[in-house]
Amino acid sequence: MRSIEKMLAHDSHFISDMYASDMLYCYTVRSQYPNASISSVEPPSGLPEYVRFLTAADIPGRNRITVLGESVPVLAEQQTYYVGEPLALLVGPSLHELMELAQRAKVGYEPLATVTREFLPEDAEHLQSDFVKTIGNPEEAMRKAFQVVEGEYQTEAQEHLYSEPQAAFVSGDKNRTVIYSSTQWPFHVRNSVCRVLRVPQKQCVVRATDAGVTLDGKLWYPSLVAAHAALAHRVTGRPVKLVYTREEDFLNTTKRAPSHIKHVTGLDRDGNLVAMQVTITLNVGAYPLLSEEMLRRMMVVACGYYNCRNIRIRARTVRTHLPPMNAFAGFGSAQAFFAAEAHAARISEVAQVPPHTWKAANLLKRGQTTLTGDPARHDVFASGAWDWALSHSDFARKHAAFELQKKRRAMETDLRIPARGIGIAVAGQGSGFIGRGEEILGASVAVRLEESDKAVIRTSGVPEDRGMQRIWVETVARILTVAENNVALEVVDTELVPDSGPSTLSRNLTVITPLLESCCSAIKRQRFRSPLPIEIRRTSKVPRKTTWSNERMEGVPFAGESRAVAVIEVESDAATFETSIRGIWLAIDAGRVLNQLQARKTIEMGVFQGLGWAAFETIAHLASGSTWIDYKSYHPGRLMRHPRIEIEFFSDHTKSPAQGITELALSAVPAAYVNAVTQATGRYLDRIPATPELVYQYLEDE
Amino acid sequence: MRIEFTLNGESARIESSAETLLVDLLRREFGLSGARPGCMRGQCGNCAVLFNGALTRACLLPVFRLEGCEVMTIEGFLRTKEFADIEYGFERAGMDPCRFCISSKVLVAHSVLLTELEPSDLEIERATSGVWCRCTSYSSFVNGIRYAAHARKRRYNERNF
Repeated sequence: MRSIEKMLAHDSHFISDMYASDMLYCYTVRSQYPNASISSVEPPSGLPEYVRFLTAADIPGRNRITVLGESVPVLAEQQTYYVGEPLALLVGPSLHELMELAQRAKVGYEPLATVTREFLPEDAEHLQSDFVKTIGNPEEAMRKAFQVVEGEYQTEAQEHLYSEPQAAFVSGDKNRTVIYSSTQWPFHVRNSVCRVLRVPQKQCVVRATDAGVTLDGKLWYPSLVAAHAALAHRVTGRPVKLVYTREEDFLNTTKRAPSHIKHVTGLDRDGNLVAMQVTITLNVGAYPLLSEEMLRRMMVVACGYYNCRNIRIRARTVRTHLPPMNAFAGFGSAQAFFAAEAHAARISEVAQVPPHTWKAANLLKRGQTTLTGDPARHDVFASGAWDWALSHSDFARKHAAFELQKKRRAMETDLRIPARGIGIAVAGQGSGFIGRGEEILGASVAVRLEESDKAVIRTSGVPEDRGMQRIWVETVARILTVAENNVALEVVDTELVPDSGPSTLSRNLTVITPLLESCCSAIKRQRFRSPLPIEIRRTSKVPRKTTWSNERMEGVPFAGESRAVAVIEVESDAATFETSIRGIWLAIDAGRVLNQLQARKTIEMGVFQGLGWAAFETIAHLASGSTWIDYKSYHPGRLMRHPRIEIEFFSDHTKSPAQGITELALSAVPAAYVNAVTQATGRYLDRIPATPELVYQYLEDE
Repeated sequence: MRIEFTLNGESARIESSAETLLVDLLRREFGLSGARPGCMRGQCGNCAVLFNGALTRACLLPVFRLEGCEVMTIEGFLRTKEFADIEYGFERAGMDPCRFCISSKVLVAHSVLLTELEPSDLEIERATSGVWCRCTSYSSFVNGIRYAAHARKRRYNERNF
């Protein structure tokens, strides 16, 4: 660890620490209605002359922030679609005064009907995207099936809870705008602001500040915040600071999209899969940004990693009047894996086969054909991950023993018999954007070796933690054979570094790291032929073998994939249903592990994030249906009994490249946890968070 | 109102409105940014300081409460021997928190060890769950506190002999 003192020495890592003597604050006037026509947006009466009130009419360029084809208004004009949508900006020297003035802004609304929580799959008005993928003949196979198992699974929103709330600081002069942004995608901020202000890209510089662990909460929203601050700066000509309060951030920014997933599965006489029908409905809130990527990723893993030749998957997004419900680490994969793995547990119960036996018979083996028509490249059995997870957790014995305990409890109603359960789930992670997405986004990095043998890494990739930085430094130092303290990372400044695309979906590891290796190898080759300094720049190319069709959903969806087998053992209080975790085992198959310690930490962090979502992180929706949001009751820091976590890494490819692992635990842990709680409580849980209240509610319903 | 108090071991005198919050005062008047304004309702724990030696959320503490009291922020705590224990523990556990929450996590660890040099799992869990930040693996946080406890015990033993 770098010295704590050193870490605290510089105070400009966060925008909340930035000040300028003539600085102004910017505060957002927000919609009070979830769905309404707007007739007027006017400043409060008695607006001091030193305070500016800006609306959409003040935007010189385009009033939209666009991400991969979908867009959101910078400031809403004629209609508002969620409570908290930005309508206007107040700019002035006192933040407290601006907050008071915002309450008195005069906005003319004509309220319209609201949709917040309910899924309306048949209501075309709210449907945004609707994709279908069919292989084989699922209807015919379902008709002939010996047994059909149905289940509906629901997941809730989750707050990203990144370290610093959304923020931007803008300074500069007429010819140059400098934007400090807490973002995962600096070039998106630059390009968005340039379009909004209608200025050439060379007039705008974005410097990324410390974003911390963002979990994809700072993918596109920082561009909106930066556009607001940049507009205020352009109008006033003075430095402008815009930092959301934690509450403002919580109430108005993006969350993990809630989902409803229905599985209908046909089984043969032995309980093996013959047909699967999956219907995914994703609540994307008011604006469906990134929804196509989310839907397609969910479709790819909607059936889990099970072998079936008759499948129909329908996936659609529903627009509601909630704030934008977007990507959370994994872009929806975690929701799909939860449903698939909870359903697999249900199937094994109906088929009266232990879950590990059923999975062993039905999980894809290497070479078998996947949903997208390509041969399965990963095999948790061949890699040894499956056997390790089962043997180290003693799954088979414990599962049988807990079943017996459950029966005894039911017969004897003896609360002294411990209510224990053990659950297993298999999940995975695709690295990078799906199919041709990587080609559209692209990534460039550069490495420069100077005369002093100092190497400088240039990338706009924003590492989530210092672990990733360390991997980059170690990689460059190893290939160039220079000391690690002679390797430096260039400041993430759009004038100084090339565009490496968004830092998401483990691209920092699977796209940027190989590019750095390529740069260093090229420098190594040139080193004794050309004089120093040598600077090499590399741009990512989609491999030729990646033949992917978005329309047919066929081919190899990801440049690389990883797998996890998770086992969780729990004990549930027989009276209160409070759950404590007795053990967690994770077997990871992620190719070459570049840094074991960092990888272990990343997995552990994912375990706690996944457990939070699965066990207790609830964002309560207001009963009125207008919008949520109970900020006070949200408490992600709560920790169940400190569990023992065993993690082991496997690879079934001797020379396979490093694959992303950030989302693995987040995808595998929730289902394993819920399956364990289901066995412990004897209540079939089909939604998360699986709180004690939910168990009690199901008990009441019975 | 005029308030006199001790800040990081030195006497401080300021003019401020009584209801100003300590977290704002520290940043505005003293340029101390280690205590970070987070939720501003005492929930997230990112603004932790030591107030008369006890862990306190600076976003809940109005300035009028400071009169005659002692406030220690992370900037002052860095200069103490107690900090060296925590640093050792965190390093040994491989803990790598982000810059946003590190000051609070250091002070939380110190507050656990103030009352108990052999803290139970439950005591540690209660204390650590008071800092909202997804950056750290909780296991390393808990192990970091345990290692810091070893260091502190060792230091006390050396002092006694």
